Amino acid sequence: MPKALAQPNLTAGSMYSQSARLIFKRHRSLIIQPLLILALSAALAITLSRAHLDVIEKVTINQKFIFRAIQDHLILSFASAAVILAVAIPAGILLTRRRYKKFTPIVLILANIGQAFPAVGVLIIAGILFGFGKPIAIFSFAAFGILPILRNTIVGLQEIDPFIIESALGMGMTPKQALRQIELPLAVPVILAGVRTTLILTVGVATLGVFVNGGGLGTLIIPGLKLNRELVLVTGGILTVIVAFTMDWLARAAEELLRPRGI
Amino acid sequence: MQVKSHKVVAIAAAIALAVVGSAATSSSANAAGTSLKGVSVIVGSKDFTESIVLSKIVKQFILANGGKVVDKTNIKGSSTTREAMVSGDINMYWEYTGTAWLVYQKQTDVNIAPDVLYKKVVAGDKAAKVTWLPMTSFNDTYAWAITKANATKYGVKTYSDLKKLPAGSAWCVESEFQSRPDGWAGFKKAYSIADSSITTKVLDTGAIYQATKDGQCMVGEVFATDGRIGALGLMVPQEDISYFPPYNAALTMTDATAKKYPQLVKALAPIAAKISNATMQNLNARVDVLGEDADTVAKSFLTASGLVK
Repeated sequence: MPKALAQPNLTAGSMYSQSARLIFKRHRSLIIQPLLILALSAALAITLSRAHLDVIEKVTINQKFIFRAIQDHLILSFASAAVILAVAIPAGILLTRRRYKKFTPIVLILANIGQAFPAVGVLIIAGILFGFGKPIAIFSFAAFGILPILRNTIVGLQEIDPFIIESALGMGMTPKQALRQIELPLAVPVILAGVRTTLILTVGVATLGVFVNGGGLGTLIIPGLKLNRELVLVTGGILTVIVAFTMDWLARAAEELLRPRGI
Repeated sequence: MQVKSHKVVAIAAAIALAVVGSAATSSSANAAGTSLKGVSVIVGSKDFTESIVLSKIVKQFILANGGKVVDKTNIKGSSTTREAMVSGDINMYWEYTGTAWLVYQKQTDVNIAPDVLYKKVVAGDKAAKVTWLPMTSFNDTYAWAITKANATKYGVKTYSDLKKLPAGSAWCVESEFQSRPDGWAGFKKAYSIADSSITTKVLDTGAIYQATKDGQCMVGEVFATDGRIGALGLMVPQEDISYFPPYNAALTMTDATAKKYPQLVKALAPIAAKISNATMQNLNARVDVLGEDADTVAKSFLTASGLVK
């Protein structure tokens, strides 16, 4: 009986189709998401090319302006996300080491304060103090977005069963080896969820770059809002969504690739 | 601290004197009138000082004459405020002729005299069922500000003189100004300013005043009646080539409100004539620079100008 059941799986064709189906099943949302992004972009492009624009709309709804805004927006979001990753993940690791554990509450309070600050207010004060432009925008956004990933790194490492680490040490691993080979791989899913949250957050916050000479998609949203030009406002909004979706997709693809198998 | 607070008091006194001095004899009688008894309205405003102060003047005027007011001032954004009135959430707020013309009526022609523009805007708003009361003489136009020190250093007296500034000087504008038909691109064209000779920075409108004073902006795009121009030692050169349209403020209300309270329309009409450019700058400065409460400023203006006895 078992032989008969196993029989169909032995032909090469069905093996292939089954594994393809498996891949699709496993990565369904990863494959559908870029299609949705493309569809949304195409719909926007068609709407804009057919729209009858007045003098005010023509200033912002043109290829040069929009591409510049998207480019600035990507610079702002990626750069601030990079600053956040470079600061928050090492900080999170340090704060779970025995020697630095006592600082965890204080650092979390600071990160909480960073997120609770009114973003526009901080931006403008920082701009007046240190000069308006992209650098100040990037560092302000980073201060704003550091909390989720810092918290996730700490939580991800703290949640590991202490017995696992103990047995690793018992097997003769040094603390550094245990961190690299046991703790970090186990914490990766939680840390990466924090990375995704951070990326989406920075895409959203980067729309405020318009207030401090940082450029970005806010240069469409704010005049669209103030001048009651819905087409401009919605274009800025949808482009932000497209950028956020794309970032989210990249982060999820990274999660799929980096997530440890079999642990 | 002691010295500083004295200085502030002295400035406050000077401004208060200027306001009082411009008015006729003021009465100290504070008894509420009754001419607007039975009037009950919701007064709104946009989200910046001038709009709030103007609406508080209307509010305090109605209260002083025995009417009732619900205060819904400080609504975010021009379009939102206008929507709030058209949909009935508020009954009245102050609008600018230039803004109504360009933004709500979606016109694009900007080279119009103030009174002609007012008539066109009033006519254009009939369809939206919006009534316009008389307009103020002050014109809260877009303006360019530069520090007095730089004006002297580079010999800037007119907007054309701004071209004498060093190459690459930073001009700070807000994002809305970039998009307006009466905005940045048109200005550069009218004054033949080449993009290659300057740096453009896009900033929040409120940040431009301080950034111009600090030197981050050589030239800042500001509002002509803003109290911070004087307070931060900035000056506005002469507009030697006519470019900006007029922005006179006028109280707007729904036709329904105007019909319901004809006595209110009649009573509020004289307010606009009492607010000159200098008066408006003083009132704005009292709130923005001295930190006075907008209601207090409105009340003292009404008494000083003799509108409330």
